[in-house]
Amino acid sequence: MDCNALKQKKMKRSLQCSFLLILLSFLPGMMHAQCKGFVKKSGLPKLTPFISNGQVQSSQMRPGDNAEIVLSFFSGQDYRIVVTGQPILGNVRFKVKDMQGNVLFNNSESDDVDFFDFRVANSQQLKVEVLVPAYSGDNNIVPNGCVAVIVGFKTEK
Amino acid sequence: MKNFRSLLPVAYFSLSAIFFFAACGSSEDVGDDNDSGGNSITTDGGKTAQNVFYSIPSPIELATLVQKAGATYDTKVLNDPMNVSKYSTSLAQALNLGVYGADLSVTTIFDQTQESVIYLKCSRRLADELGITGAFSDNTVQRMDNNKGNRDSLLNIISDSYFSTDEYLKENQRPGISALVLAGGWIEALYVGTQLAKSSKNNAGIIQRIADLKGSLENLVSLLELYKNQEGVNELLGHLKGLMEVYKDVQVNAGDKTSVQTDEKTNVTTIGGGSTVSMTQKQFEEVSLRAEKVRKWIVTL
Repeated sequence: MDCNALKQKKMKRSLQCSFLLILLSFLPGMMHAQCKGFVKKSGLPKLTPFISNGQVQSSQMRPGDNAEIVLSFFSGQDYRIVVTGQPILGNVRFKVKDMQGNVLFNNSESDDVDFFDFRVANSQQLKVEVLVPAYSGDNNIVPNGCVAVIVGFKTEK
Repeated sequence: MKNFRSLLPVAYFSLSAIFFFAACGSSEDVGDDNDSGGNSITTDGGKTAQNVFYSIPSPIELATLVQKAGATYDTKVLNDPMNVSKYSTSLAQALNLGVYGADLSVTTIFDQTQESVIYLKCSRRLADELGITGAFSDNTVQRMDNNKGNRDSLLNIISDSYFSTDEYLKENQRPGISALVLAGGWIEALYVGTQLAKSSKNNAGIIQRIADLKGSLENLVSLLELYKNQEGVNELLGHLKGLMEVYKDVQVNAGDKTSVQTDEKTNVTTIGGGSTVSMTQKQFEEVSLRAEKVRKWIVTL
């Protein structure tokens, strides 16, 4: 192999590596892109007729992952908590607990519904625990998707 | 051309890899993919929650509670719209976007349509300066105009705009700015609540609502702790921790164990029990002073 051919081969390899690196650098952005628009499109409509608290709590999750959100609720208001995940994750489980850990609502005991409507007699803090069920597929590719928790209120009638 | 063709297999491979990873994560994947600035803590029972989030009640909700408790509207307690041009740093813009959002909520809840339009414009200007696109558009102004007199619709439009703001900031990896917007809104709602309580003859209901904010203040501090290295956040945390000191002495009355009951006729589920809080006049005055101080710091940034 002459010197020119060797140089050309090296250049080609370095170009290939650069191209691969540039493409892979977009990867984190694309991971985040999974939640883009999902909450507004799939979560927010489920809040109707409640008024959203204006906050988006969302995260990329995998089977077996869990998340927790601490929220304040006030007497005299009606509330809706919506927990929604991308279909690839299956039925996302959630529990509403008081700050002592007592379970007040478990969606897996209510046909896996994705919302909980309630009011509180006394203003208090509650925790929402979210769990993505374990993956039951038979290959090594574990799904990854967006899960969101959104909260709305309306004045008690 | 020949060289470019030889790159095609690499391109196919790279693109396939990207789409594959975007849709599926391998079981060995580790890392923090939070969109909202969550963190990890060990919860009771020794279980570790991988993502812990803190939610803050919206100014719309807080203003609704204060209005229902008997407050009377007073435009003098709101931030001067003329201040909007003074906010030049992202800290000042984010905090005051929250402040003007709370003022927008107050004017809407008290049916002050003309003032709502002014505060909407202030919010829009700060959102634009922070580079938040789409949350407050011409369409938002038009929708507000078309729904004059329909309070529920107006509140939905405002909450949609703040939802879009929060979504935009988190999707663009700016959760710290989002936390500052929430903090500005919460502090303005507290400030307005204390000021309106002071000018109301029968203010027990408003003071009770201010006492009820104890838990959400703790959430707000926990949220801001995640961004304490960001400019100005430590100073803000200093103010809020001073406020927490006052709230620490607020009496917590242990109630019954929490229970859940669903009314069969109305199908409404009520969580009963739980503790209640009560605030003395002196504590209210201290909260009021601290709220005034932090709010002054924000609006004069």
